[in-house]
Amino acid sequence: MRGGGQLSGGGPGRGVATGARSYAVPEEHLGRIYDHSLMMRILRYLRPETARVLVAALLLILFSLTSLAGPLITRIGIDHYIANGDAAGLLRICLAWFALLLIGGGLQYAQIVTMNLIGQRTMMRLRQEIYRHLQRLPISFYDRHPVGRLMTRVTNDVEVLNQLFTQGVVAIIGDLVTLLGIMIVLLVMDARIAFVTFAMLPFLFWFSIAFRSRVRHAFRDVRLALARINAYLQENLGGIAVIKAFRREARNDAEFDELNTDHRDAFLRSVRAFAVYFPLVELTQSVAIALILWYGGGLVIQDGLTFGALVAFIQYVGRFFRPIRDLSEKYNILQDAMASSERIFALLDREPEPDAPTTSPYVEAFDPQAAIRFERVSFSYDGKTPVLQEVSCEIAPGTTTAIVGATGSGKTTMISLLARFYDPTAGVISIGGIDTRKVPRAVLRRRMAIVEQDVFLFAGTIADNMRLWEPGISKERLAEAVATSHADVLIRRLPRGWEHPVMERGGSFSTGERQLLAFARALAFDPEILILDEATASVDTETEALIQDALRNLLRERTSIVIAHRLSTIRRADQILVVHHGRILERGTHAELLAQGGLYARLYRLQFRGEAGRSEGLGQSVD
Amino acid sequence: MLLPYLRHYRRTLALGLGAMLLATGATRLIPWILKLAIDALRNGASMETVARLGGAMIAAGAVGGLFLYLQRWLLISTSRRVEYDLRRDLFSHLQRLDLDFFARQRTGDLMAHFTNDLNALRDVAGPGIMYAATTMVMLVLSISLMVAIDPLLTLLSFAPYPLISVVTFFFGRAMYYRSRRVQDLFGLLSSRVQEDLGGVRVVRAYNQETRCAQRFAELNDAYLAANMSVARLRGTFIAAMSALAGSGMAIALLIGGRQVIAGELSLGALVALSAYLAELTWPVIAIGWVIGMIQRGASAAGRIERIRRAAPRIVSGPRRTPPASRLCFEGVSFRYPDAEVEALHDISFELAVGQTLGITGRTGSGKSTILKLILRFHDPTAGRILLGGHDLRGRDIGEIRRMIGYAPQDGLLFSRPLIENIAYGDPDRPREAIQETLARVRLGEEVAEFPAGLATLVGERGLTLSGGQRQRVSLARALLLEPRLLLLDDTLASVDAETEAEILANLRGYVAERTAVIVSHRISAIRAADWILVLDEGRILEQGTHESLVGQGGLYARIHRRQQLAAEIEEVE
Repeated sequence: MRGGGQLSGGGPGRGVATGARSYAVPEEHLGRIYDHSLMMRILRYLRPETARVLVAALLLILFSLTSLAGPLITRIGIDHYIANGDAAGLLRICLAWFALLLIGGGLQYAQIVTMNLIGQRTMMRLRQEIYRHLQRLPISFYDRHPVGRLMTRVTNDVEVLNQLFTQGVVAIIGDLVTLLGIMIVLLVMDARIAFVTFAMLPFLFWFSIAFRSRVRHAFRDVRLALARINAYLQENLGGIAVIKAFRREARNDAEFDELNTDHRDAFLRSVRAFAVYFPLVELTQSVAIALILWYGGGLVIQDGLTFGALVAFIQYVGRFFRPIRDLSEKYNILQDAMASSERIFALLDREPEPDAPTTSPYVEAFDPQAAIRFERVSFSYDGKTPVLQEVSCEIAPGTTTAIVGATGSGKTTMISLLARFYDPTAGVISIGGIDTRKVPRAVLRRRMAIVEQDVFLFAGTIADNMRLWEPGISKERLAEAVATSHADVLIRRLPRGWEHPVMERGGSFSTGERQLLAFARALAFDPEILILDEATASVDTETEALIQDALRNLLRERTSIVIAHRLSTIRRADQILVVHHGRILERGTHAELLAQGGLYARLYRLQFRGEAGRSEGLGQSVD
Repeated sequence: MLLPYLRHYRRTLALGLGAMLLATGATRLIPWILKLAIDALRNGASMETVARLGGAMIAAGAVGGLFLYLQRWLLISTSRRVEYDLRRDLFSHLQRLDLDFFARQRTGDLMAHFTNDLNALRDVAGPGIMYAATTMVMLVLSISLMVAIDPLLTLLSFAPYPLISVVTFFFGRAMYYRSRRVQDLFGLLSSRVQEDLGGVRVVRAYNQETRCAQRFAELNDAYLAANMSVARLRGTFIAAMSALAGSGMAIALLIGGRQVIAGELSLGALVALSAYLAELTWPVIAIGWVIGMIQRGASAAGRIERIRRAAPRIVSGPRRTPPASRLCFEGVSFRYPDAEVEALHDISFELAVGQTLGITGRTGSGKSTILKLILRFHDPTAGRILLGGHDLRGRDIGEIRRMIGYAPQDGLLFSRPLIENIAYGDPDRPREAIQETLARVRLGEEVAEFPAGLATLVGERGLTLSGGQRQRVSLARALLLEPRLLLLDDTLASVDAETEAEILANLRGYVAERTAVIVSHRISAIRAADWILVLDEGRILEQGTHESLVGQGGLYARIHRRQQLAAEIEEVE
């Protein structure tokens, strides 16, 4: 967060957070408004749009100038034609005005479109940059950062910057041009009246600044109150059972009332500010017109000031005030943009995961059909609690290794390390003698397929989820993969088959069905190394039979590492590793381990004795 | 729907509209004064006259300003108060609806009613009313004054303005659809990011980073195109507005100028008429805008009204005297609404005051449902539940829940200081009682190590508690009430075995003093119960005491043996 300016107490909605007000701590501070280096960094994103920015600025200047013409034309019309009774001249100048209005409309349209295009294109680039950056950050980053908040960086924060580009940066030029243009016109028409008009400016500035600061504070409080209301609603509507059981309804009404009152009162403060500001501006304007009339009237009488000029002055007053009024709005845009860009840049400044070079002797020598070795591999997620401790094992090419153990023993971590989602804190994982850290992740993973226990399905179609977005996978290969993995049975049941829509996170599919789909996905990629984390949740018997059979096809002729919960998988494995508290405690075949009568034998007794046919698993919580 | 709320503020609203009338009237005078001044000047008036007219103008501006202030304050603030009233009533109403209602609704949708729909209604109640009224008054006053100056000129120069209203209205509609597309795409963009990041392990495992980025870029292109279509529309609208408004002025100058030349109109009148015309631009735009606002408000009102019409089906009975804690199920069956199978079937048992019932069984076997029926979150579809010999349905719900301490399965806590979570059911409990309860659930030492002890904020924005800690806080929350009937729903599932054993030992005396129903997967938590039910698919599969059930050699005995084995394995080093 910026500035670190802690909210100081006083007033409702601030101070120590207790009760309902402890919902949602303020995220924003009224700190620095303008940070030059930050602004420069934002503006750097405009560089590819330089030409468009120049065009937009030019259009804006031209348009501002045409919009200044109205009062001037009125003046000429009055002084030159009406005063002299020249009806033809009047027609001419009015036609010119129409023409100017048309041109002005065109300019304004072009300007708005160009400016939006600049904003949108810049945003698009920024969004893509953030997105790609996120894809290059290590998995461990995602363990610490909730996806929802990252999403906000890509979407909402970028959207805030858009305002700066479309309504802020260039529009300020327009306001300045208008302001300056009017000042020049006024000075040229009559310097004396011009100065009378300018006399009102300090007041207007003063009102605007006072107003702006009041509204800003009020709106900040409104946002805070609204955030609290939302957080309160979210939790209490979700926790309605507890509320009812503890008979909190009346108390919650009172608590919610506090938040609701804060929200209303903050809003009322802003309403008050607006209610004071607008009349003040109007009054200032009336005073300005009265002054022009009084002073200008005197000049008309004594000095021969023309009526046209007097009228033009009066007409300009209103336009003169508008840009000043708008400045306060620009100020808010700037402030918001600063806050958002700071959050965005903080994310972009995070170091992406370093990767091995794409061309090296290691890459050329890398052979995925070689033995996999863990050599004294240790790992910890938080740097404190060891999850794996000096794990060593060898997995011969083309064989199946089953890893068994209780929940939390470190099984999943082993395969996460093999896929290089994380790197070991100590020790080496090698394939064919080459440290996996020496080859780029993409090269390593291209030969691997991973089926995780909690299968992630993307919104899209079944086919999308099978081949992901890999164009190299042909329809035929996909059909074969689906047949081998028995996912075809499932797909045939779906009304739209391959094109059947998958909801977000695969909502409508059961655990077993997801597993089948994930098998098909893995097979479609035809990996040399297959990594599989079997689902523990119980599956209906029909699907279970399909899964068992699919697994046999899946594991054939591949180097496979399976976190196994199914007896059938375990029995077939060439090697079983029994993991306990981050160490490999026992290893061998099913028969060998049973004969040893150690931990494996006990695990086996726990889960499978007398129910070898059932689909229950090792490590599953006992139900 | 909005009317009863507005009626409550009818006096303020009337005053506000009165102020609006005066404010608009006073400011309408200014161009007229301008007319008088210019004509006076043309006729060679003295400085004094001009000064007096200038003074009159300032006076009109001041009066107008004062009433404009009153107008805005009275009218807009009323809408904020109406919003407040609506939100308060909606929340209060929601809290009293059945759990079934919440099962059918997504929290996100309910929240949208609180934000979007209330905003739409508030817009109607405030700016809607204000601009609609102001526009009417402005139009009537300005046009009357303009007609007084010159009817023909008024007609001709005002001609483009109705067009503005029409354009605004259609623009508003087109804008609505195009903005919807932008919003839809924005939603798509957000969910795409969420998915790709949520599934980041799959994306990386299958090397799809680049392709995901491509797909994201395509979506970005569509989003840009949709945004640009909005920008073009808005550009057209804004440009057309300024051109149309400008043409009115040009027409006035052209026609009016000719009339001035012909001597039919004074210069002052022309200037005043132009001034009236210029000030009509915004109100005319507002017409189209207000119509859209009212349309949105009407659909929002419909959605909110639907919630307000939902009525709870589970209502209190007439008996208010607190019942005894003797609990009896008589052939209770229950089916959740929309469910095909019964969650509970023909459940009967009796529990004397001070006894403990243990319930175990697989996930989904109906264990939690029994507790929810006792709490009257739902009513049985068949059979009766008796408390102290009386049917629950004849009792006051508040009285029943007052005697119950309930620790739900998920250990849901609220984002507030720990102490407020523990004393959730009774905030006035003395601190000693809280400390005692904390010790009972073995949280005392851990809490002492929290950054702010009992005042530590927990939940989303505070300290993240482990599952076991949350469950113990939830247990403490129930125990603190010293209820006569204690309902524990697998409350120690995430607590490690050692701590669980200690807590169970601590609770022995406490539980013995009251009637308790304890649901648990773990045999250790219920083995001491006076009676144990083993549920399977909503039916009682086995029942008896621990010893008798172990002796039966059924499901209970199997679960018991497995848990013993699992415990042994945990101890292997």
